Amino acid sequence: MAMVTLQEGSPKHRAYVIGAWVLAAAVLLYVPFASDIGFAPASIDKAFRVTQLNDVIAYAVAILGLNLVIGYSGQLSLGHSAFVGLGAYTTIILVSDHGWSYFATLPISAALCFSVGVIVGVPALRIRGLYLAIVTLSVAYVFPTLVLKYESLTGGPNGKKPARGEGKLEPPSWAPFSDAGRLAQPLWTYCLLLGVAAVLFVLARNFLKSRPGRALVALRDNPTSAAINGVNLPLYKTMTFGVSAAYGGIAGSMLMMNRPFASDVQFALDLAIFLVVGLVVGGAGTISGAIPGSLVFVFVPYFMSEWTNDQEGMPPGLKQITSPLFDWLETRQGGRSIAGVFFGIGLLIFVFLLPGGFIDGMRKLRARVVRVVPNPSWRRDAAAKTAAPAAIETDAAAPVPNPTH
Amino acid sequence: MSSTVTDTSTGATGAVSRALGEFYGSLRSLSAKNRRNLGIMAAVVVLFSIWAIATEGWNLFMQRVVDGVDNGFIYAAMALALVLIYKATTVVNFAQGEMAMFGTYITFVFSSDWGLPMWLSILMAMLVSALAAAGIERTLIRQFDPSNHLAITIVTLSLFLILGALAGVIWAYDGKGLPSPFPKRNETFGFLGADVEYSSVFTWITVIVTVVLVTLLLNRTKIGLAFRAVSTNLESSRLAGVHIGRTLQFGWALAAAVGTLAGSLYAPTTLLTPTFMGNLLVFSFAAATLGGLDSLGGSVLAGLLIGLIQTMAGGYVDRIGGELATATALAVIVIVLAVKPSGLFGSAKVERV
Repeated sequence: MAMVTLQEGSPKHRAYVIGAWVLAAAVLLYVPFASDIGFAPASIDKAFRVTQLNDVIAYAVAILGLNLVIGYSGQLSLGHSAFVGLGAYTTIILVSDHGWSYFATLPISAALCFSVGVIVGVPALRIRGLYLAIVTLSVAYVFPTLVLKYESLTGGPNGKKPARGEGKLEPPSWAPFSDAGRLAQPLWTYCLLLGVAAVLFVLARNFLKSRPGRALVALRDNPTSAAINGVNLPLYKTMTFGVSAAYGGIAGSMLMMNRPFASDVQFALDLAIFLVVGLVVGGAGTISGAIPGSLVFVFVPYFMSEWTNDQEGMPPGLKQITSPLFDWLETRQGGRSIAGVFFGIGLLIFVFLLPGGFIDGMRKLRARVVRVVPNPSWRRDAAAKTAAPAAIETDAAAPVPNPTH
Repeated sequence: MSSTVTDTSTGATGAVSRALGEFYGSLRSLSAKNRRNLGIMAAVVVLFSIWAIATEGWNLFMQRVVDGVDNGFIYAAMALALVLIYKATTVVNFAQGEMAMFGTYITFVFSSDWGLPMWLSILMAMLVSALAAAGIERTLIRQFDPSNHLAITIVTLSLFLILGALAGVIWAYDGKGLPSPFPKRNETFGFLGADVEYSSVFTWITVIVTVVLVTLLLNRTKIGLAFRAVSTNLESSRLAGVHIGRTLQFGWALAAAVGTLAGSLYAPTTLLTPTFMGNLLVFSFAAATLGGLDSLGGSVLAGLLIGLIQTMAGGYVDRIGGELATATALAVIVIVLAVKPSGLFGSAKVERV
């Protein structure tokens, strides 16, 4: 039983919600700007760590977009890496060849990816389930080969980056950290990306709470009854693919704002698969799940391979246990790849402990501490309505006002 | 569906004649529209062949046909394994390629470390991987409800990571050469102007025999009947007293054994590395869907088709070249799926509303 019971809409409940938001905002500001980030070993350059955080923000947007297709409209899409790549290449080509600013490229890559996403979504009208997975998988597989084929535009296997000193995101002089040396640029990028991501997350939340969003969930849960209730299936399916692709494209552009270098291997099939991993780890069908999913996506493989190369950064207790294993691995030629085994085992443990994803687990944990009950006044209203003598059967079946409003 | 589940005729010959009868029956019952589509397809193939022969000669054309068929049979063998798991669990097994790769390394251990003859090593490796897959099914897959697709997909993704990395730790990343299990290695004979390797012909025969054996296993044995029942309707077969877990376990074991066979046939044509199945998986996946995921013979034909499109498009169309051959093959699949959403040979699903 829950320790605290809160009534929905009561001042206490509001304080709890506002408190949670303030805490989240504090964490977002504290982590990059703190003098020492808790999990950073002393040897790691802090600028690099902030760059990684910027990656987390960009991939969170990509996972959020993927979630629109997989988690909300229930169609398995394995081609998200192609959209991220398309956005990234759009930005990098416009910035380095045509002298655009990074922000000006965001709408272009969103629009481009939206149109390509709609085109990919068209087969989805007839193809379902696994057959759709292979179509999207083909998109992911073909994208790097196209990059290699059109070398004059994309730089081919050498990758593409703007000329030195061109199109950099320099912090303005009024920023309090503008004199932070090497840190200034990543911190400024962090602020910019956080702003873009916040807008995109709010847009996604509002979209999903609106009529199209509910139509989408209806479509996922039962396409037939959704169609009977007037949901235009072809329109919603293609639009979802388009919006999801646009999110992916913006995420790609954000990646380029952070590290202006694009190459074909960066956007290969593995990225698509790992984005799905991040999605499921965070929780399918949740908006906030994109953040833990993206943290896992960026940091877990990184720390796994870091600790495999050099056990100094490891937590001390863990080091004692694992040192015989690592000593043995030193003697093996391919010993470094043990990181993949750890990641896989970690994923297995995760799916057994939290099959619904991180956010689902957190919600269950929260439900043990705090219980939010609907405001009784709404229930009274609803009860009064049903009990009213004039109420005929159709009136009694009228929906109870949604307590979330 | 019920006609395929009930067993009436006896023996292998009965099955073959019945299949032929069904084939002719389906030809006769083709609608005018389908006949027209088939006619268009045949005309395209004939026109392309005439053009191809006219531009670069007969010998090169035949050589490319042979190369395409060669690739196609390998895709077909892997597609067979994928279809088996899909029928068993209705999830994509992302780890299928890595499982086959691991099985091929086991073949390698038996043949070069233990010095066993190649055929014996392949058979033993198939057995070992079947047992291992049965164990994986029991410990990792059966814990989840079969309808919990997301969790099962994540399990196969983590298997993909674990097996790939583990093979790297155990056998390192330098390529290992696996000898061919067939006699007359590297010898060729002329066939209608093309040079055909003896070992590729043996490979084709092996794949065909495997398909026939698996089909017989599924159509002639009790466990095969149970397997088909479960893949058709899980709830009904549970009510009819079929042990769901054990049946699915059988599917995993069979798929792993077929995958190991496919890997061991493919490895001699290239080098055995922990990533050597990577590209193959996409094509076999494509073959499995193109063939319609529930048809074993269909996936073999689709595998051949993909192999042929790849070599033909890459060889004859300059603009496509080697780089875009794969893209072309995949584009053809997308177009075919858009026209026939359940593949070329899959049974169309009818839903009651």
